[in-house]
Amino acid sequence: MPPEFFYFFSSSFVQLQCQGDPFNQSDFRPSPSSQPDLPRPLPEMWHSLTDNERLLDNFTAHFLLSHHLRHTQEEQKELNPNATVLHALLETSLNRTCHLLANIRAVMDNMGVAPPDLDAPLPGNVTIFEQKVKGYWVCEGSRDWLERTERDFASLVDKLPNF
Amino acid sequence: MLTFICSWSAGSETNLKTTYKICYKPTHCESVERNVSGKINLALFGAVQIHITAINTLGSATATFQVTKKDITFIPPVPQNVKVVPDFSSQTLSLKWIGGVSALAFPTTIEFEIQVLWTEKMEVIHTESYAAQLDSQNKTFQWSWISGVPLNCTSHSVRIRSISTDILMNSKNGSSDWSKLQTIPGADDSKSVMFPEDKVVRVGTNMTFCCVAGRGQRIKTLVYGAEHLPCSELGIRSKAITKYNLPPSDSAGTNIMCNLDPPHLLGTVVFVGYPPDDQQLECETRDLQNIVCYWSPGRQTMLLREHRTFYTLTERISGKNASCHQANDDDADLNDDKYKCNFPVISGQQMYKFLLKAKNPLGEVKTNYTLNLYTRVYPYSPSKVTVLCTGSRQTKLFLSWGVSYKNMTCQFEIVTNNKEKQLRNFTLPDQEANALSRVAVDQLYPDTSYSFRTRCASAEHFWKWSSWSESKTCKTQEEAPSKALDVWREIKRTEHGQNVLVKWKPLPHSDAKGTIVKYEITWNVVNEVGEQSAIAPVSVNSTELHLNFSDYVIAVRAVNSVGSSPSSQIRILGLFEEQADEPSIISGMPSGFNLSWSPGTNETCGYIVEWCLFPDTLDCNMQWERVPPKTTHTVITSDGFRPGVRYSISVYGCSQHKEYLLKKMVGYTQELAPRRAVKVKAEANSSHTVTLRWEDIPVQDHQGFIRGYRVYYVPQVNFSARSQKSGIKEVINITDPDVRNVTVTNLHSATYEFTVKAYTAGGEGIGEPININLVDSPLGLFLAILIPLGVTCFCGILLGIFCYTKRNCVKETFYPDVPNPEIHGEQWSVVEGRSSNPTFDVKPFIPDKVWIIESVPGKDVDDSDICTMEMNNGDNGSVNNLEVISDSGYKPQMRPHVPLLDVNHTPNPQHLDLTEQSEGYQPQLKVSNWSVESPEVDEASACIGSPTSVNSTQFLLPYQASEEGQSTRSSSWKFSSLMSSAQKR
Repeated sequence: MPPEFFYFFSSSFVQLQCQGDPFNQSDFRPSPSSQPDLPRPLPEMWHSLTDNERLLDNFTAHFLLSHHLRHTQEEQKELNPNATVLHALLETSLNRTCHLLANIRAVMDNMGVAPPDLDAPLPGNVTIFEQKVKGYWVCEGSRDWLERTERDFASLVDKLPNF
Repeated sequence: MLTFICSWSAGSETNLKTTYKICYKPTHCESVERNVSGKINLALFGAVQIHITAINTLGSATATFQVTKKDITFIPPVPQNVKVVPDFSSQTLSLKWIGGVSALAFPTTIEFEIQVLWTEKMEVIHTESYAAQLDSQNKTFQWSWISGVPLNCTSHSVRIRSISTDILMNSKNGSSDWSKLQTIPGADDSKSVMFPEDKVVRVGTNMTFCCVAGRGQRIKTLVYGAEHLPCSELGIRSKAITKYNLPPSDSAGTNIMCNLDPPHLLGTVVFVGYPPDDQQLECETRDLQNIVCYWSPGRQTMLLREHRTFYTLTERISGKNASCHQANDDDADLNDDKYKCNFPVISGQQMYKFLLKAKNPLGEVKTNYTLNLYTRVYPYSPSKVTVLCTGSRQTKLFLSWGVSYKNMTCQFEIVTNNKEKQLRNFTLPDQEANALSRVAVDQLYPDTSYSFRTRCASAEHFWKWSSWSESKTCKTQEEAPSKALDVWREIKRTEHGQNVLVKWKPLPHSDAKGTIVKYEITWNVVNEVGEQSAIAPVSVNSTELHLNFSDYVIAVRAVNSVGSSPSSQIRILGLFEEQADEPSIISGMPSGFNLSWSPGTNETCGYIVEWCLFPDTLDCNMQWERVPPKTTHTVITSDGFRPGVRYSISVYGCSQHKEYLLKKMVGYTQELAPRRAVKVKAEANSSHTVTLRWEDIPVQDHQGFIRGYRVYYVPQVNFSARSQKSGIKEVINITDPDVRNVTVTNLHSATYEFTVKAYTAGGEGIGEPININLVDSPLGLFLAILIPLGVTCFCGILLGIFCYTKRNCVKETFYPDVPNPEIHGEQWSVVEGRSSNPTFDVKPFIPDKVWIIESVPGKDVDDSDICTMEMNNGDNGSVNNLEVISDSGYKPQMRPHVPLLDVNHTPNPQHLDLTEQSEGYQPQLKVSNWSVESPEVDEASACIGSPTSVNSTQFLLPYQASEEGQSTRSSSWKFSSLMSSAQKR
């Protein structure tokens, strides 16, 4: 497991541990309907996607995730001010997502792919419970998208030996 | 006048048109067309007769009623303009209405009955009465109610009616109709929701949570944290759970979750905590520029961040607020578990009144504190402290603060290098910032290191000591030693002169007043000019002088860097022999000795008590102690005193600086038992008397004063084996410690063990036992051996005779079925044809002296074990009756125990009971007794055969004879042969 996965996995786990019962129970799985608005990491037509489309998907997902992670971090600071381990993990995850986003942007520039015009998602007026569930899905989404990015870039490297 | 409605029943119906006429006063009648009720105007009070006349075409009929106030029911008006306003956040329903137009023109008491219903189920969930005075028309009323269930969970409806309760009316209480239902709709079905949302409540409250399913959805579960609680239905789409006595939640709150079908997760969070509990507000100033107020937060509220407690501190005289950033900071670090706010001092204002408000979503507490600025000064510790040791007994302290203070009272703590502490107080006048204040410290000891630290408080109004300043150290200067040395001597006279060992005790630091660098010793002959001197290094405490037999004066002084101590003198008398009486015995304590003595005749300068700490060693470590004049007692103590050691103590009187021996004492701090055994020598004076003598125990082994001796003696059975001691231990106690011998009498002829033990107050010592064998005269010993031997031989002979004479009797008794069992004398012949294998080779004989009497008639031989024999003694013609009693058990091979019986030495007839030891059936006991196969056995003996053989005679033979083997057996047969030959003669 690359170290990045560890952070996203840990932040997901620690995030759940800090939210109280029944979030901290091993069989807890909130319904997918509570997921934030993100591109799907594993679409059925992944094989038919072009490299540019994949890059755009990656850029969009990590752009949105970076904002969602920031929101989650701020919400958890308010909700769990003493959960310093969680805060540190979220901070690390956010930093890594930002670095990854910058790298994707550089690749896109290199390949002449124009970045999409995206609006940053707003925190939204949600209840504390919804914040907790969203935080969980943000951490899960970050991990899933990291896997997708790794897969996309592996495919890209094969096609572009000079990359 | 009031209008009453009268109604009546029409009675039996007719087809004719009937009209009614109501007459309630003779002059007041009203007609009613085809109705059974009518309105009349009456005064309220008093009884009224009402006549109702029914009229139709056939005639009329009149009924008369007596109506009083009690018969009239008052129906209050229906409440009007009923409006319900919900407050969803506080789950409150507020109701407003107008009392309506009363028929009565005067104020009446009335009661409104209000009901709240869950509209969907039309279930009344709350009923309440609201008492009111209906004193004016269209009076507006208000009522509110807090619902236990969030109002959004389901639709709520409210209705209200009036009930007359006025006692003045003294009539039947009637109630109005219900007002029209006023409904507050719950959440719509556009989406699924949970209520209440993100609430903050107190610990211990009861709370209901509900889940409202949206269109097309169904509620599956409703869970409080991980706890499944009973679920109640509020309506088709709404379910609720109630948690009673809510426990505190953790920082992220407690989650309540609703699982829906199709799968969807809903949730809400509740934060359960406490209202603020802040208390013990106190304010003070440290620098007269800022006031710091601090308080204890009390019980934790369990609420964080946006729900945490916010503080405001207001000074009410000036109306200004204090700065409470520290208290309101999220990450506030509690100092000593206290929060604090700062308030700048207002110029010219001395009195301050503070009000602290602590508020969180669950409540608010207020605390007041009033202070006079100058009565609550808590100074800082001095920012600078300098110490300067300027002399041998005084020093100077320099203090300064970074801020100004008014008069201060201060303390400094002085700690010497041996950790003695001393607190001294001093005052400081008004103190400017950073100005140095000088404080002189005196009454110190020379050559001593001191560490100083100080603290201060407001002098006018003491409030608190400041914390201690840092410690500063300095050492005072030296002075010359102030006290003379304590000197004593040890004199050893030889034929050439006297060797004087001059000893002194080092001066204690308090007297040395500096570091001693050397000792000066001077001496000169009394009344002669010419002084000799010597120097001793500081490392030694004695010096030896070799003097002649003149009288000398010896002086010793201690010297430090500043000067020398006063001279300490002792006088040596060259030809004076110290003599004293016998030492007296004293008893000590574990720590030392309590001494007293008679005063000396001419004592002028006190006494000296002298002793050796280690009396058993060559250098006895002489100790001394000076006792002031007129004091004739002292206590000497030392950790070196050991139990069981004899200490000699000498008391010297001092007269005009001449010391003379006054008294000698010996004693033990604690007596122990003697550690060496008393060596004893014993001398047997006779077989009954022994004299014991012993030697002294060496004094060093006494370990106490010998109080006497104890002599133990005990007779012993077996001298060689000490464990087999027997007899009673006897003791002789000798209380005279000078006795060295004792004579022990009344002893028996035996071996005795003697032990002598010395004893002290500490117990009895060990002993070395010695054994003495006390015997009678040689003649007695000789007889003691010979008599038993003779008796044994005689009994052997008698036993032989007995066995022979009883042979036939035994055979008769035990072998009755054997043919020809009895052979008398010469009739006993060998059966022809069996000569080659004789059963018993016995030749006939004539018993000339012994008659064998048959068994007692009438007694079964088999049953009886008693055989009676009558013997005829040929010498004196007397008859001996012998009765032999044997064990009834069958013991053919048992080792017989036949006592020796000297028939000839038994002059008188007597009966003897000879009882064998019962050992049961032991056929294999002595195999050698019945061996057939032995080749060495002759034919005669071979026929003995088996022990069970009917013709065996084996058990006729004494055991001892058969045990001796073949030779003995053959001699036994020879004996019978001899007897046969005698018969032949």
